[in-house]
Amino acid sequence: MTNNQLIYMDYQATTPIDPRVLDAMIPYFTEKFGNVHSSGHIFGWEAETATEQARAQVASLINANPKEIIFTSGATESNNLAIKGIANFYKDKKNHIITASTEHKCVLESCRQLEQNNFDITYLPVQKNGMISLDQLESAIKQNTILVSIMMVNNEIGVIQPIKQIGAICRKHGVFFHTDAAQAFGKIPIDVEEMNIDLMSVSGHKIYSPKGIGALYVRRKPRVRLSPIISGGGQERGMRSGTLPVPLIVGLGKAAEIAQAEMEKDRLHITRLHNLFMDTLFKNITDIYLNGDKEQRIHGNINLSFAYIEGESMLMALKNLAVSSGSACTSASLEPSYVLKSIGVTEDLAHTSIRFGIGRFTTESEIKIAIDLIKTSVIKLKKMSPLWDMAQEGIDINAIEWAEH
Amino acid sequence: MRTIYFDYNATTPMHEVVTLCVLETMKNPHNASSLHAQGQKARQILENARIIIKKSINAPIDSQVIFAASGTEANNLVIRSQQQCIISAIEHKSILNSVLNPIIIPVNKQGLINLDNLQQTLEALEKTKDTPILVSIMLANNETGVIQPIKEVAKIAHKYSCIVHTDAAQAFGKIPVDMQDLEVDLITISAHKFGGPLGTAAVIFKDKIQLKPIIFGGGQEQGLRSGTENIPAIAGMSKAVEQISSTVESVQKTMVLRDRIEKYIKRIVPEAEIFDQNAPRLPNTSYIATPQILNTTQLISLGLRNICVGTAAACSSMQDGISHVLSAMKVKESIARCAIRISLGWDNTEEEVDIFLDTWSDLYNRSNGLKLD
Repeated sequence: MTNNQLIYMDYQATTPIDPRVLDAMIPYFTEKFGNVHSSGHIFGWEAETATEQARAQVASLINANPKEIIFTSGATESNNLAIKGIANFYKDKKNHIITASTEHKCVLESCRQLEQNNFDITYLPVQKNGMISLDQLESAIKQNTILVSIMMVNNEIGVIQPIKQIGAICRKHGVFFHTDAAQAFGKIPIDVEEMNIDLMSVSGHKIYSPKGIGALYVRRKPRVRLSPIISGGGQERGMRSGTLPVPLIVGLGKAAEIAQAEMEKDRLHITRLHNLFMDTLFKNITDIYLNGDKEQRIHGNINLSFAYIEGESMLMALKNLAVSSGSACTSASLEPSYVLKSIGVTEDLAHTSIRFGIGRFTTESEIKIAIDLIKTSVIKLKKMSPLWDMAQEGIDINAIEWAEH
Repeated sequence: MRTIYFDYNATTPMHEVVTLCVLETMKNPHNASSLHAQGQKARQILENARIIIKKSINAPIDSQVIFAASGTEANNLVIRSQQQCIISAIEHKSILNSVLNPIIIPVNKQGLINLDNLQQTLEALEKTKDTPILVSIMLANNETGVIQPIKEVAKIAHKYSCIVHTDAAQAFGKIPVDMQDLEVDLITISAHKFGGPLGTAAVIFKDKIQLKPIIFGGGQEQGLRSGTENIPAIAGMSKAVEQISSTVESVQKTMVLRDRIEKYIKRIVPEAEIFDQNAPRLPNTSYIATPQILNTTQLISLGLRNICVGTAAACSSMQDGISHVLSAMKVKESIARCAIRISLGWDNTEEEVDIFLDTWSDLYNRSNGLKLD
């Protein structure tokens, strides 16, 4: 590998497509191009068979029935459909929703939109380790609570919420439970039955399948009902209209199948590199902090704060590493991450936080190059850093007022 | 046995250059919101696509392009942004089913919107309306291929300060579409109808138009459509848009084949009805009913011989049996149940038409036992 080659370490933003997924899709881009809804001819039949196979592959990975899988354009749409769909369907009966302050923007924004339509939303705070408190959740449930929406794995800091316990609490109180599993699906075992999940959002492009495809699991027994947000030809049992993108669906199905077969292999590979990365960095660099709980987390999502170093200079220094500061969808704004704020990361450390992603295709040599680059950059930037000088002189960095970007 | 595909209005095969472009783009992990080089490349693809689309459709300089996951979603975005809508009776289901309390303008027997009725409706509403009304009329109907007089619609509607939208999902790629010439404020196009990939579509609209998002989140697409942009599909769509003149030209050439089919069927079955042969139509589309042979029978019999045609819109075929478009055209139910849609495209040949006509007339001649009554 040459020095100038880009090392991809942004697996939480999006993943490269697995070549096996691409191979599975290619026939549907070329000779099998039919519209799945053309039920009168072979092109339609081929497309339908492929779609139903993919539905079964996705369902199998989470112990669901294929009929409980609705294809969407991605996790953002799935989250919007789950939250607004439930809210609008049951709005005459109940109007309270509980979520957490560290949810993905699309969950928070869907809730904010509902707030404007007379819904009452509780945004649970999280503890310093990024986890919600189960007691706080249970006591937030009211007579008029219709839905709890808590993500399985956080996109920025990788912590895993206690989904099974949350599911049990929701079932006990007769409240629907939705989880955004965009960062968990295909990576950790999920069982919608055991975890009492009623609705679950998944994304294709986070598990080595293409962008533009995702799914929503919608429980059938007991039945969960939704008002669609997109209406039309009545596809996906009326819950999501629009011509299904067959090649993308085939890709998602194949990716789910591979994830199911190779979850343990992926886990071992990623854990080994994760530990190599963490151990070497923490042994060699002082003043770095891992954001989020140390144990309750997914491997391969390493969000680090580098004290006394300016975040943008660090990103520039690491320009051969494709990494993110904050979550991808908001990093263009350069505002400090609301997730890090929620877990009480101070503003200076939030400014220097970088998420390093490790995935199926990350190699040991890439990790080693990344480690070397981070080490030398930190040494160089600390030397240039007025903050480091100030800290050496005993000035409290946290007392500094930061200028608006 | 080779397959003959006469269902281009349902979906089209991708152009080879588009397939290559999509597959090439898929090789890289692009998230347009990421700041690193891969993210920048994604943003470049995205912004280029907007420029190419605007240019191709001759959109006004200040107009915007927003990508959605389907024509259906794009139409929902337009319709759900407005308080009061006037639509035609033959709109696509994505319009009909997303609109609340619409005023519906009828069509005549030819399937053309009644402009006098539109004018009178707007005149009557002139005094009572408090917000601008959206007039949404499709450019070409997906079932009949009938082309609506959108320019006249826009002229009338703008006299009453309405906003004008046209769903050009079926027209774009089959006839030239010029947004400024049509004088519309918003237009929907769908990639998989013109040799582009499934999974992406766009709304092009003048800057002054206010849209309200359906899908909230990271604020992509100027906050109007959140969700990680489907970069490979958008790259493919933009590649297909670059080919649009040659696509339109090749579709235009299918008219000879279409006319041959119609002439032949009319000769065998003089009472066959074509909806509507006398209206301006897309060159590739024939919606034809031969009385007493159910369309489902024809569809399946042809399908078993590897010939693909359509009935009503793909998304609803075989579900409710009767096309809302034909009902709106006051076609008798018994005739409507016999209508099949033949929609041709760039890959179709004379030889395929020969095979189709042989197969079809063979079916027709042996269909006594299949007839109604």
